[in-house]
Amino acid sequence: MPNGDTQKFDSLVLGGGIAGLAAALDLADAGYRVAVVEQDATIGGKMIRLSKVFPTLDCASCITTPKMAAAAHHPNVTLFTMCRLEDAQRVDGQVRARVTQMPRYVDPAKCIGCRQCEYECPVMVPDQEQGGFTARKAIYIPFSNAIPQLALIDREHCMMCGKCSQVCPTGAVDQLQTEQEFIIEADTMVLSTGFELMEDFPQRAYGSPGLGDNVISSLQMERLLAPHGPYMRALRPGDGKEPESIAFIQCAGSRDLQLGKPYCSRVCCMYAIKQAMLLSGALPLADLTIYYMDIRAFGKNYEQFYNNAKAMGVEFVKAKPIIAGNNPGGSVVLRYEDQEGGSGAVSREHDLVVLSLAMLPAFAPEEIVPVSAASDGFITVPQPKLAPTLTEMEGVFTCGAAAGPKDIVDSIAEAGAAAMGAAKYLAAQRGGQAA
Amino acid sequence: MQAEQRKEALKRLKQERKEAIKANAATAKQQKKDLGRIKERLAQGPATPLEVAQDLGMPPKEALWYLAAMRKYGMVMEAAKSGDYFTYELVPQDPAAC
Repeated sequence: MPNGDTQKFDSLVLGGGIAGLAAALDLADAGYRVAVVEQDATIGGKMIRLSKVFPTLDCASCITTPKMAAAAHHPNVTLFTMCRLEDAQRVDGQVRARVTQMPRYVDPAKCIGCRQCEYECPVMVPDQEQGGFTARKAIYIPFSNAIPQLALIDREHCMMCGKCSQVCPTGAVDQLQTEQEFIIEADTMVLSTGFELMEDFPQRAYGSPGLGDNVISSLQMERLLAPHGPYMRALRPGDGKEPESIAFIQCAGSRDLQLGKPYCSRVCCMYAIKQAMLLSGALPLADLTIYYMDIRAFGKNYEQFYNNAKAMGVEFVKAKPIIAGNNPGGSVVLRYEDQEGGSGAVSREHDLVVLSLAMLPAFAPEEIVPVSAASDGFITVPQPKLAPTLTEMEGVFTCGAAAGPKDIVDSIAEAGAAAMGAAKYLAAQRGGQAA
Repeated sequence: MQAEQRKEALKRLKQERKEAIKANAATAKQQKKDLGRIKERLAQGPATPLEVAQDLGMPPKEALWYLAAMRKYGMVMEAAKSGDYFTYELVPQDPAAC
């Protein structure tokens, strides 16, 4: 795309996760032209990286992939991946967004996604799409159902040996690509920028960059449980042992005033229960323990899901353990106060420990979009009860975890509301005429 | 951009990235060496990540990382279980592909 080019749409959706895609598809189905701007190399957001979803235990990929494909093939949707929003302002009644296309170093018009370059590349890099538990190459396609199926070069790790260029059947590799800025003009915008996990929890809580090879995050556990995960089964990443005892520590960062995150992340109780149930199926002999402050099973069928987990033998311990150390054999030592059993301070060892990390906002709007962030860092919604998708900026809506921690069900429901709000705004702008 | 100009631009880019290229090349060289050693070890028979690590003097986590990567790129496959660990073996070469 040439520098400075301007493209016009009815709506701009910032973020191509499940909420953004749902909002974009609703608007597109209503006849509006939608631009989806995503900074990642693929759409799908966090949901495409999950194993299954609670409380139905449906395959996450089986739900997300059709949505991704629908967005990619919809005549009214244009996807802009690897694009960064520099700023968006309302100018002459329109949202004018300055967007930077980051270089893939691969020509998207030529790449056919054959992965010959990836197989030939000699540099292996920890694959963050798989929790860092396996490798990808310096030129790679993020994962098998990524959309678009286009390779990209990780410039930081590339040694410019030229092997990818030699094997590429279409001559798509282009090391000379540079960032290109362009403008998107739209009448409305939907902010669906999602969340990140508090990955630096060990540093914040323990002053240490890591807590051992066998202490992992909840998203890493999602990858271990995914059928196309790094080991294709649940193994301990420190040495490949099939774990006999797995613990989940809830509220790792959430509801913690000392870490500045007083809010509940809302989904951790349910996904820990889900992961424990999936592990119970994969490793029937393993002991599964969830250390919790309170179990918050607020959604439809969630309480039943929690009771099912208890009936399946998952142990629930009301405690807030600390990670006291790692044994030479690789097990992790937890120490906690036994609040219900009255045994005082207790130490227990587990082969693998999963931290249910706090959800943090993935987007700070300051100096980019004239909407404010609330004290928790998520986008402010001035009318949370009557209009939970309205923002402070005219014609700009928000949905999903951009406005606060939220599960998939609520994110998709909000996406529909945001799309409806945007459609109403568009119709009003055009004298009551729908698309 | 003409072919000659591209060639010149690539040359300049390589020069600008000289240090990073050197570091990445060193990493790739070490990885190639490690992969070769793991393949040699597995040529003697299936092994768990722990056995590979012990035999080659590398951390178990690193051995598992390599084995997972080799499996992803079709070099090894999972074999029988040995205690709490799975073993890995080399994927047999297809004579027809040679």
